[in-house]
Amino acid sequence: MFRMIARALALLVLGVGTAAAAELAAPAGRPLLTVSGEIGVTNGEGGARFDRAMLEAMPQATVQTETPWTEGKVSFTGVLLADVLDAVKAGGTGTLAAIALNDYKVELPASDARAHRVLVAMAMNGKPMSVREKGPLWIIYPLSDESALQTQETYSKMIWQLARIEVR
Amino acid sequence: MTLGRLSWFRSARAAALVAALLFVIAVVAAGLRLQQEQTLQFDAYRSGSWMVANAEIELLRLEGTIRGVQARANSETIDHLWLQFDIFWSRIPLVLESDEAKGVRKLDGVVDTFQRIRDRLPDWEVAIDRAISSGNYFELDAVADELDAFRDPVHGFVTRTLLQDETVYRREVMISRMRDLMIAFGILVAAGGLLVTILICQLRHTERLNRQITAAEQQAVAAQTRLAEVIDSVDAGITYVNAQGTIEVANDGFRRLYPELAMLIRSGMPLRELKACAVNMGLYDDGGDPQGWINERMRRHQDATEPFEQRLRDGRVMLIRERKTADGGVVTVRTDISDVRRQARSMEERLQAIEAASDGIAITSSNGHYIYVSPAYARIHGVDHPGDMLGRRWSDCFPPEENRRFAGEPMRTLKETGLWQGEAMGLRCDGSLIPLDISVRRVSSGGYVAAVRDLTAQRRQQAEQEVLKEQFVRAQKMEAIGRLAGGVAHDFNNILGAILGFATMLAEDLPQSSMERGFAEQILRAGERGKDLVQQILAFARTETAQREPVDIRRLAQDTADMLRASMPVTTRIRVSAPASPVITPGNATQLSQVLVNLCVNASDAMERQAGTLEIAVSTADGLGREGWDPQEGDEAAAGVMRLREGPEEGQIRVRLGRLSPLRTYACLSVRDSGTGISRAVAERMFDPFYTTKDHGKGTGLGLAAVQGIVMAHGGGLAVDSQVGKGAEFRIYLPLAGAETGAARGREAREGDVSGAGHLLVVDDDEAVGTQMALRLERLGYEVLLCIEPADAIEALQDSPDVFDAMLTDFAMPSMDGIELARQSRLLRPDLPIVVCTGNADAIGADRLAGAGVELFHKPVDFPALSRLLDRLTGDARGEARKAS
Repeated sequence: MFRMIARALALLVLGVGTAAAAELAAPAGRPLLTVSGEIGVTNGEGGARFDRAMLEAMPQATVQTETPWTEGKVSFTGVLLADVLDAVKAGGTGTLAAIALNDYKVELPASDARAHRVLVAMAMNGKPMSVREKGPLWIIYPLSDESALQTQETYSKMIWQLARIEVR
Repeated sequence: MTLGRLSWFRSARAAALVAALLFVIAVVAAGLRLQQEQTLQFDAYRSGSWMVANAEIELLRLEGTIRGVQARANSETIDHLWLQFDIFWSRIPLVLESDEAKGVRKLDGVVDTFQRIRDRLPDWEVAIDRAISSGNYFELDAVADELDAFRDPVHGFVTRTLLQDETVYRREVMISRMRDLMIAFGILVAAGGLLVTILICQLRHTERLNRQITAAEQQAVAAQTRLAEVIDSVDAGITYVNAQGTIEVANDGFRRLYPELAMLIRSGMPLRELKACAVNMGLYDDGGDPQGWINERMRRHQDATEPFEQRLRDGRVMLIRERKTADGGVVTVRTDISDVRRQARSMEERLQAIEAASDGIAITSSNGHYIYVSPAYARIHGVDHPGDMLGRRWSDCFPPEENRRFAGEPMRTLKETGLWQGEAMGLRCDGSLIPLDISVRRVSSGGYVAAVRDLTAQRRQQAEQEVLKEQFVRAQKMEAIGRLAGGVAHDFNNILGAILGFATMLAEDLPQSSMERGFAEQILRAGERGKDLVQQILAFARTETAQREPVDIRRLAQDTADMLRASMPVTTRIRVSAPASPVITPGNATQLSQVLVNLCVNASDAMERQAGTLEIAVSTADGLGREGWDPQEGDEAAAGVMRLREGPEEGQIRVRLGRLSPLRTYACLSVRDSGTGISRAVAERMFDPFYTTKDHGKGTGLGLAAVQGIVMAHGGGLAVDSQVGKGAEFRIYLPLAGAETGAARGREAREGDVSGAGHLLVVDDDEAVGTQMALRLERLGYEVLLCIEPADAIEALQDSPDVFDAMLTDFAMPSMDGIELARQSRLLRPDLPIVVCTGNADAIGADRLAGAGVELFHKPVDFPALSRLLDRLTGDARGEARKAS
């Protein structure tokens, strides 16, 4: 009971925070990723939209790993999920809903972004990924670096053709 | 039992092997099966099924977007179409290439179908682009139709993969289950393997044990068989009777010992029954009470304490030892000790024989200590108790020089041959030596058995034999000389008798102062000397039968000394010492005087006309052991042969002659001079006849020979002690005769006034001697009838037997000797006193003399003595005649 009350109070506070959210520059190009929900920064109606240039302007990170869907070790480059969440001042109870272009949706805990180097990949082996190549964005967990992550649960969280993230 | 266990074991081992084999086969089969299952599971794992489903959804969406464009074509729907086309496109390679879709690709037709879709995608892109750019959207139908044609097969794949969805989405569970299964299987295999291994090990162990048990059982059986053989092979009879009193074991030895019971005895038979049988058969001496005997025997059997001996009727003796066994039975061992008993008895007898033997017997251990000493052995070594010698070394019983000798040849011989025999000097416990004959034999124990004989008696006997031999030789020599001299002396005596007889008559008849009377006296003196010489010869020739009278040695010594003083050189002083009382010995005064004269003449000569003292001493002495006759010398001197010893000082000699009794008292007549002494060489021969140290013509060599002969004939002894340069002492020992003292005195009283009366018949074949004798007797007052022939005398007796008071006859006559004459005369006149005169009494056999009943009288005739004898004889005869009348 107390925990429910605390959660409600927290939502209230966040709501106050949202009203005071800082401005994020609107994307110039076609947006690749939209973050919505409990976030502190937006650049338009419905959330914060990032085009390729905006994402490329953020700190870049690389994760080299094998996956069940690629052959051999592959080098993924992009932005750390944690940086994206920081950029939008994400709040909420810690659950992220990731939604693909075909509206396929998975939920992953926001703490994963802090615990692992979870990457929002934009390029594979240095080349930007097209929709036909499971692009343009792909959530990548560092499977090869952390063998504990090599489970079906992690595989299911590695959503490709990522379009939106809802912070809850 | 063994076979049963073996067969059980074999079947168990076979079963275990079969089980192990089955187990291995099952494990292998299960393992293979499990691996197949795992492969199957992984193969059946349709991880890519959702991709196929996703591809179907995107295909439907693409169809939908195409219909949307055909319904209302604008930029939004067209963009959407292209996005949807790209999305659909992206799904195709995932199905065909991705690792995750590997499982789904195994479904028949998947790869083929999706490959055809991929092949068609570029064409569809061109067709869509042409339709949109031309605005003729109906051309999109062709693409839609083609897509539609793929809908059913793709849906079929989806439907087929849905069946495995449950599994697909629980892969970890499946892997985990498989892992658990594998672990469980592994544990099962390990446990099973362990069990099988343990079982096999156990079986092998059991098999080994079984083999050992089997071997042990075989050994036990073999040992039992051997034991039975051993028990059967011993000579002793062995039985085992159990606690219930029945016989369980009886060996062959028992059957051999009791052949009568051999057929009877059987296992399971009560002991009492067997004993009863034995008693009935009369095997034992039951003393007439068979039941009592059996009871006593059974009681002993049950006690089973002390071994005891049992005597059988047939004489055998059994030693019976009984011992209780742990199970309450009794083992009885019967040994036939009959032989042992016999041997023991025999040994006892032998030991007694050894103990009784005069030879000493000793047994030593290998290291030379006495372990047995017979009483004789101890006695020989001067030890009273044989036990005192046990443990002592045998070498202690011999002087060092003998021990040194033993170490050489005797020990070598003993080692080589096991036997040594020889003589040695033994050491007695008092330190004296004893001659021994020793025989040593090595015995098997390494020790020695010695038999020892005391040679003392043997040595003495040998010495005595030597002496006897010497004596015999000497006696033979003396006899030869004596015979010769006696014969000569006899004839010479007769001649002298005649000379002296007639010379005496001449001297008596011729005027006192006439020259002729002087001549007659000269003849008389020469005749006397000749007579002396004859006496010497006869004395040396052992005139044992010389007339004996009590003689006072004192007087003899005094008279002789007086006589000698006149003839001795003036430088020689003669001293006589004698006791106050008379020292009387039965003997012949003339002979004894001769002894003294001889000794004194020798003594005087020894002083060689230098100033010196000749001491004559008379004393009495106990013989043996007092005056130089120590026991040993006494023994040796007993042989009657001269014993000569030297020492202790240089040039000292001691000579002993004759046998003296330690019980008697002797008269001792000693003649001592201070002359040159007697050398050993002279001493050795001085008693030999005709041996002389004096100048030729001065000595006859008969002096000491005569002394010896006379002294021995008187039963006396002779001792000589001398040292060269210091003189010599001769001591004569003569037996004392106190009883004859009175007679001697009587004789003295009547001396000098001799006369006779009566008729005498005188017989002598030598006319001169006979005439002289007749004349002398007539002068003494006798009436004499002289016969030259014995036959005349017999005739005279026949004519007038009672006329003659006595007969006097010569012994040696050609026609008839004196003894024969006496015998014949006695036939005519039994009571006639007869005197036989002879110069050599030895010529008459003692037996003849004894039987003849005659008196012997020595020539040359001492007439006063003869007169006294005749007086006695005729007086006796007259007395008898008076008695008779």
